[in-house]
Amino acid sequence: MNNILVFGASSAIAKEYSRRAALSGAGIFLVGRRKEDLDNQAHDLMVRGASSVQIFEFDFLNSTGIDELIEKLFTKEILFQQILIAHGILIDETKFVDTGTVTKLIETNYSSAVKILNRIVQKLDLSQETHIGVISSVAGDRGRASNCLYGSSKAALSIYVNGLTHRYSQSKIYFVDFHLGFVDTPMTTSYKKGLLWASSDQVGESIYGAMSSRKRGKVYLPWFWYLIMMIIRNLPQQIFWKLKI
Amino acid sequence: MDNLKSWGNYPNLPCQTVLRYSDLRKKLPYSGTCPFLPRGLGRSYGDSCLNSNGKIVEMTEEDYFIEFDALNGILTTRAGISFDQILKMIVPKAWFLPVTPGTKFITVGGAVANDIHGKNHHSAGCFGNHILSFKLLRSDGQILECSDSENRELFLATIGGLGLTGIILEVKFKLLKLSSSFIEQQISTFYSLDQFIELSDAQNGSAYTVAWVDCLAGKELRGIFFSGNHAASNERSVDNFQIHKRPKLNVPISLPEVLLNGLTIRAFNEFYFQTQKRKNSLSRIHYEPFFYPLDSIANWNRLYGRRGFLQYQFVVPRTKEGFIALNQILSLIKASRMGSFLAVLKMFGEIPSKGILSFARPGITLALDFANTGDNLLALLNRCDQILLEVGGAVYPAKDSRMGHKMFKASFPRLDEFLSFKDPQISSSFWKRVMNE
Repeated sequence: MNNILVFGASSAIAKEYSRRAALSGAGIFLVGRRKEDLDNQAHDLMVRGASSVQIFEFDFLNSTGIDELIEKLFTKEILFQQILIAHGILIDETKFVDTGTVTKLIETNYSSAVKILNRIVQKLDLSQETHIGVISSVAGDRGRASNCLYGSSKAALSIYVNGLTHRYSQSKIYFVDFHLGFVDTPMTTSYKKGLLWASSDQVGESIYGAMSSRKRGKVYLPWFWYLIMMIIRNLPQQIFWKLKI
Repeated sequence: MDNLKSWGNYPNLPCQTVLRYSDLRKKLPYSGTCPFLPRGLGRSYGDSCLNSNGKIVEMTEEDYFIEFDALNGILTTRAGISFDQILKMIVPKAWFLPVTPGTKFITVGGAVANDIHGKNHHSAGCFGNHILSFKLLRSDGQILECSDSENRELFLATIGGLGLTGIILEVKFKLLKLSSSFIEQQISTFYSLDQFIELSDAQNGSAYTVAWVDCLAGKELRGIFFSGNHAASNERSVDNFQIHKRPKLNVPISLPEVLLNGLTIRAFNEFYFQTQKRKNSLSRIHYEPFFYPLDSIANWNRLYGRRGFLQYQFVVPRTKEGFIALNQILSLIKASRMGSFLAVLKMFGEIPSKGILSFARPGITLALDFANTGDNLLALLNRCDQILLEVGGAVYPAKDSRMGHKMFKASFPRLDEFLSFKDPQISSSFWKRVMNE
């Protein structure tokens, strides 16, 4: 039986991932900010087949509380087979953003995630197979006008994860850096949806699939973003700057 | 402001503001300047899921299971969960929905609010007949437990109440036991309304019956009659309780309207009739193609293009006058040359519907799709309404985008009783239209 740990459990994608894990009878540990939502999810996941669900209320802006959280989660009795870092915020960058919001974004999307991963790797039992997935974004592949604050936080996170992947590449610890394209979730309600948009349940299912296999490294979801970003990344600057994206 | 649409992409109404349910909850008791409307997956065809110049409360995040009594088949869920999600969970445990419409992409809240019916109406009634209780949130912040024994009048006003009595939060309902996820299907052809009625009566013992009709060809109605029962288990099969798969086909963008015209529709009807006729009269198929043939094409409504389409579903009483009215309507449609390739005919049963505004009642129901060709279509449908008014027929709000107050009042004679249960802070474009507000 698998034990699954989810950070940012209230996010739509994490919810779908947890549901998929529940179908396989996993023991599920949810970390998130909204207790009521975590309670609802706990009942829901038990109905869907989870063998047990535990919830941990945590605000990712509380950086001093991270050590204590990790101690609480990583007791000697429980070993996690899958750990997903899914918390993050998106902001409207078409208007001017105040410094407080920038701080919040960087702390939530990058700093807290790095602090958590940094402590987790210290707790790992290297003899046990563990899959650690981190939700990043195609927005981190290349800085663009419309969302470079968000994009840079994800880019920085991805670099850290790539480094960990390298460090543990010959071990039983599998790091997966998920570069997600457009996903239809409450975070993206204000965006107009089109052909390239994926649903959160499709993405959640793919993440579970990747973390249940021996996949390691960068994964684009859905797959076609690999091709799109290859083109976007390699466009000469003068051409890229003319695009309104 | 969002330009939300309904399934028919008609009417195209001025923008609405969309709120998440979790945000609305913080603002109760509600003191906003314009009324709101709870919305599920927006699969109603007309404007009953729209609230132009008002607020829409998105309920689809409330998609949790609360409790599943797998022994007795009783399920409690939050109202925003879809039938699709429910089936994936209950079918492997040998349970099925008690009543399902032609698509599984609807929410439980929507199923209650429209008191949906399905191919088994003659044997099982509507969805409302299987509800044990639900929790209703009113705009003043009160949460009321509603059932046959508690707040009964509000219970009966909310079933079929189009979301206008409050926000349905969670629903407890009974499921149907399965021996397998397959259906024993029987197909026959008929060439007149009388033959359809004979077949319906002969197959009344089947759990599920429905007919697809071609109302454009020839002098008389012709069609394919489907009847079905849940199949017994197949001991040799390893997967007796297979669930359905995600749709493989998709219509990614609205197609040009010219593709669906009188000629292509008539050609499709002929093709469909001939291929179905040749199928084995008795077969064992998975529940997916039996109940949800259109779900296999995601976004099939886009086939009608940007101008959208209208569905007209009505019921006539099972009387001589009712049959005459039905024939008159069919003649009018044939003469108009406004095609419908999805015409579904069914004999409703005698089980009384629970809701004050429940549509299903004894008689014959016909559902027709029409490409939105503008005023001449509206004129045709108004003439059809006139015919219905004379025989005590009714039009189904869940599909409607144009009926007037007179037809609405005639369809639901107990409308005045409903008014005292309507929440003053909730409204919809449908309500404003049919009440001339």
